[in-house]
Parts: sequence; structure tokens; C-alpha cells
Amino acid sequence: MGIYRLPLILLLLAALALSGCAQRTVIVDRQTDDADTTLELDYRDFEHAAMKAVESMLTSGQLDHPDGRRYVMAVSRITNDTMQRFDTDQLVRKIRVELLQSGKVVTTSAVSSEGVQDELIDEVRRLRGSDEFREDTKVDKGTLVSPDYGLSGKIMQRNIKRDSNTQQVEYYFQLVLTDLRDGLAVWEHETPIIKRGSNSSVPW
Amino acid sequence: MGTQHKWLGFLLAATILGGCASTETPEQVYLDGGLTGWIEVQDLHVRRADSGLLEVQLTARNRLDSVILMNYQFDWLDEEGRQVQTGMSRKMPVSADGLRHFTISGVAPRKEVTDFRLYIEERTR
Repeated sequence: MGIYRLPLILLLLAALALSGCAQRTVIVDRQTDDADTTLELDYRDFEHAAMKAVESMLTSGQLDHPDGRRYVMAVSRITNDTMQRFDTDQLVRKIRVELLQSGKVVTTSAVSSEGVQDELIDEVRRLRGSDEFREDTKVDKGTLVSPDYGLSGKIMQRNIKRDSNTQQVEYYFQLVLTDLRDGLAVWEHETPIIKRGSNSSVPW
Repeated sequence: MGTQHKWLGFLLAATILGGCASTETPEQVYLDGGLTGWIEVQDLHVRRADSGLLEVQLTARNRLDSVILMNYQFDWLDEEGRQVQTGMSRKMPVSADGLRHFTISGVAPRKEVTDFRLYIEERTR
């Protein structure tokens, strides 16, 4: 009887041990997240870079319109020049949100060099000739607003082998705000994020 | 000779205690328990910039002779004391070299911000 039960007990013990080792899935609280960083870019790096850029922009004085109105900004090309695959909107969106909420800048969805303008802007203008829509709800000509500023930039990566065990990965978040009337870069900012870790980690 | 030693000890104790005396930390600044003896807040400069946004700059000094790693975070408050929800309120790293001054700067995300709380805590790595 005991001989027959032994494998069953061992199986149960093994199952218990394995279930105890299973990694739990948790929701990360961004305010208290003290997990080690990785060599790759994570959400904290994007938040850090966006916050530094917005702080710098707001204190530069370039966003203070003499008439008190908001500047109109178009988002130009933000190049991901790293070995990782991510959407640069992860950075740009945070900057857009904070600038909009500051009351200093509004971003246009009508003009963008990345081809991400809102298709509906053109679509509703094509309805001008349609009899199906009420005349007083159609969009007039000459209603779009030209942007004052263009935001462009690049996210760069450099990998440096420090010794046989350690590598350094350097990221540079570079942003430029250009006055679209005269083409002058009125604000520039760079946030470096430098990480050091094991050579066995692959930062892409 | 014994009396001299006693005076010397008294002077040393007075010097040490005098060195530890801290200037008062402004009420908007919250230092993590471990930092209160190590970090001396020397100046808190708050101004409303031409942009209409509140700008804050804190100058403090590391009393230790070794580097202290810290995180700071601004909470921005409106005139009714409500916290303004913003992505600009997050922990940011700052470090202070031994026996050196350092600054922490912040700009309010909106014009309706009238006050703030600045939290500074020790960072382990």
C-alpha cells in the first residue's frame, strides 16, 4: 500500500513546489515602482526624457506668446535611431499632453511630416459638395490654422564595451523646436540616459 | 591637566553639536527620515515667471563627505490645496557630492498651480 502511495506523494510535492515558484503577474504602480532598470529603454526612461524636455521648454520662455494666445505646434519627424523597436509616439505623446495642459501650446492634427495627420480633416472637406449634409454644418474654406512651431528630434543609442563583463549603453533624446516662419531652431534639448550592465544582456 | 581635558571635551562637543545644527526645512519640503541629518536646505526660491507658471528652485547641501543618491518628486497644488493631476509629477533622480551644494528645480505644469510639496527620499542605487 505504502509503495503505491509514494509516487503520488512525490508528484504532489513536486506540483506544490513548482506552483510556489511560479512568477506572479502584477500591475505596476508607476509611483512606487523600484524595480531594477534594464539596459533597454523602459517607460521610466520615456517619462524622464519627456518631463525634462517639457520643463526645459516651459522655462525657456519660447512658449510665452506676446498676445497671450497659445502657439500651434506640428510634430515633425522623431527618428528612432536605436537598436530597439518602439513607437516614438511613446515620447511625443507625453510631451504633447503636458504642453496642451500647460495652456501654452496646442498641437495641430492637420500638418505632420510623419503622415500621421487626421484623415477626417480632409474627409469632412470633401463633403462640401454633398447634398446629404446640412449646409450650416459643413466646414468652410480657410478654417485650418497654420502651425507656428515644428517639433523634431532623434533618439540615439551607443553601445560601449567597458570590460569583459560590463557594457554601457548610452541613449540620447534630442529634440528641436523650430520656428516655421523663419526656420530658426528656437529651443533645443538633450536628455542623456546612461545605463551600465552585464555583457550578457542584449539591449534590443 | 584634568580640568584642561574637561574643557577640551566641552569645546569638542560644542563644535560637533554646532555643526549639526540645522537651518529650518521649509514647510513645503519633506525630507525622508534618513536624510534630515544629512541634507541641509539652504534656500528655497519660488517665483511666478512671466509665463504665469510657478518656478521652484531648492538649494541644499550634503553634510556628509560621501555622495548621497536621492529621488525627488513635486506634487503641484491649486489654490484650494487640491493636487493637480499631471505627468510632470514623478520621481526624478538627483545626487549630491560629499560636502557640496546641489539644486533641485521644478516648473508647475499649469497656471492654476499656487503651491507645491517637494518630497526628497534616499535612493539605494
